[in-house]
Amino acid sequence: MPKIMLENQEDFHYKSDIEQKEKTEGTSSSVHQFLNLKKRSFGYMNCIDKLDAGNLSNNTQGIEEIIQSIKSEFSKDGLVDLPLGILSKCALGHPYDVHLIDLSGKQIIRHYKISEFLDEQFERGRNLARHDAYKMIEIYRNKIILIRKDGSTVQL
Amino acid sequence: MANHVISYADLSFINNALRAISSDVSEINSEISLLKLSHQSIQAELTILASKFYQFLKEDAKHKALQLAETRQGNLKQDLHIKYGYYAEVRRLATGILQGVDAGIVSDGSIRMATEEMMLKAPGYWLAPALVTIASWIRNDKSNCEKALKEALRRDDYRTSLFLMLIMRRLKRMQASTKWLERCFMHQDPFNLEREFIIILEAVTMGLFLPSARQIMMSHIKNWLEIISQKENFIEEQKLQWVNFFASKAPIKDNEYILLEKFSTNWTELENSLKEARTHEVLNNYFKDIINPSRDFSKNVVEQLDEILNLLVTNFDDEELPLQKEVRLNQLIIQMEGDKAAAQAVMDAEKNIYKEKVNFLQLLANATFNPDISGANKVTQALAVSICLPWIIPAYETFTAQCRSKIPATVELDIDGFKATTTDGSNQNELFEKHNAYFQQILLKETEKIPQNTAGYLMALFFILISIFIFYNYSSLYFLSAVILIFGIGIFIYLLNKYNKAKKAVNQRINERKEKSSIILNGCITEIVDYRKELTLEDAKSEKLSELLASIVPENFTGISRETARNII
Repeated sequence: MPKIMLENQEDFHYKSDIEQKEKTEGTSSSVHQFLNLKKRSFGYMNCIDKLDAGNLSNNTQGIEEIIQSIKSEFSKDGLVDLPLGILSKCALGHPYDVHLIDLSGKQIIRHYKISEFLDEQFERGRNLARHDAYKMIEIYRNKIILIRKDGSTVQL
Repeated sequence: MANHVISYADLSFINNALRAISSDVSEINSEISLLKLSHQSIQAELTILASKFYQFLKEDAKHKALQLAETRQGNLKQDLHIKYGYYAEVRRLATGILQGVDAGIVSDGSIRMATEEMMLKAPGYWLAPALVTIASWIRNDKSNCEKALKEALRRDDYRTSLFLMLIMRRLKRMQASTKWLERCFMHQDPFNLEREFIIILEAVTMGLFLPSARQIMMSHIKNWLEIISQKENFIEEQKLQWVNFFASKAPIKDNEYILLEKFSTNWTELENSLKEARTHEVLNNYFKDIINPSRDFSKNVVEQLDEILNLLVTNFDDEELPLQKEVRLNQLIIQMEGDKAAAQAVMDAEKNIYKEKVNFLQLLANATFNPDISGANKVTQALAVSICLPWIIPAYETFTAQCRSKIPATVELDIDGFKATTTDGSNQNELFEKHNAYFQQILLKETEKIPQNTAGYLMALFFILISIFIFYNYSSLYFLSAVILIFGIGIFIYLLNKYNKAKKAVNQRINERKEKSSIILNGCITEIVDYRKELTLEDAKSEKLSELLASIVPENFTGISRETARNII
């Protein structure tokens, strides 16, 4: 029977304390950003999910709505840098494996076949996008953020 | 006329001379080519000799380094003994006094004599006045006790506080020990912690102090973490260290995919991915082992305290550190059989452990990465893990993602020139179709290559035509015509047979190759299926470890039962 080392669980909430402090002070160092890789909202994730219905395939129709949702998701966290693109596993099935929301300028949603190559910057996240453990992959200029099904994030 | 004479006279002479020269030249040429040959063989031998010589030099250097390291190690140890040998005596006296007092069989007088003698013998060493403090305290000599304490604190405030804290705890003077503990904590700068600080963490974690001691520890830890987290890169560095630590835990296992190793062109990547995926289980066991509370803590508490005290008084002091470092390097050189570079590499990896002062996060990391060298036990390891969780979890997630992103999407095969790509072997039929087509192609090419003796066929035709010609024009020579005809047909049949035989041989050869390669392809596909299955299985273990890590709550760690804790307190 293990003994409770800390009588008060709050003792150990230094992490959330830091986050709280950061919120009130409005500071955002890189370290805090690391601790602050917040969960993504379900609204945001559902929006990306819609793509798999296939009705947005290869066109720009409705992309405004998605971009708006993405922007609102990121501005909520006070993060200024938007991802270059968002990759996720494509449910359209063979021969498609991933789809990409390109936010780097082209602003287009496209489903990619297994045999097709993505731009180099996006290709590095393709293996992870195919993996079932991650719902989607946000590709940034200098990092990749993986979003799990529950919205939790992993930085690479 | 004169010209004629000269030309007549010269011609034979010059001709002979030229012939002689040319034969000489050809002789020289043949000798030169002989020389060339012998030169080449000498060169080859020289290269072998040179490589052997270099190897010998390398071995010799290693051998010398080994010998030197052995001598040096002995010398250094002797140096340590000469310079700091009396420290050991003082240390032994410390535990001796405590045990003597426990048993109640040593008189105050002898304790006083012994401690005061040490005070004279070990100038500058903090433990000597600390022992005098203890001795005078035992015999109730307040003024001497205070003077000695002042001296001990002057020599090494931190260590004296630590020592007295442990002694007070051992004597069950809880209030006093908590005061000393607080003093120890106040001394600490989270960016420059003494290495022994791990001992305090250990003692508090094990529940050897009043509950208020834990409060003190946790509030200090909380503050330190906040201070450290404010600094740029500190957490990132820790995260990186953890990622590297995870990567270093990759297990070494015999390869079970023999065919893929031989026939897959991207086997190195495949093998790496599998190795990395297998790491999850190792890490799972590692963390389970740390957080598993089923460890034996039934040891007598006094013994445990003695152990901690022992650690404090026997672990080398800062001034000994440079010598200890050299001893370690020489030890490593001996271990690596004279390979200095390899020894230095290990030393570099350990360098953080040998740093005299470390930051708090590094202290925790040392405790978890290498508890034996950093002097931590399992309980401290568990505490360190629980404190580091906020960056262990993302570091592990990053490690997992890194592994996953490196998993090759396809397996590239090259079997006897047949190049194929498959993701998981599910396109087996397609692969075999391609395989058959490839060998069909090869068969065609090889058959085309069989030489057709056109001249021979023409000759046969010529003979046949001749025989027909003779048969029609010279009917009397029909016998000759028949012979020629048979001869022509014979040649024709012989050539045809020869071609067919060659074709058959090619057919057989290609078929054999095809059969062999088809068996290999089949084996490869089976291995690919197994490989993907194992990889998925091993990769899935990472999710389990993620769950395990997420389920850890710091308050689960003390490793000591309530009952034992009550007994201690």
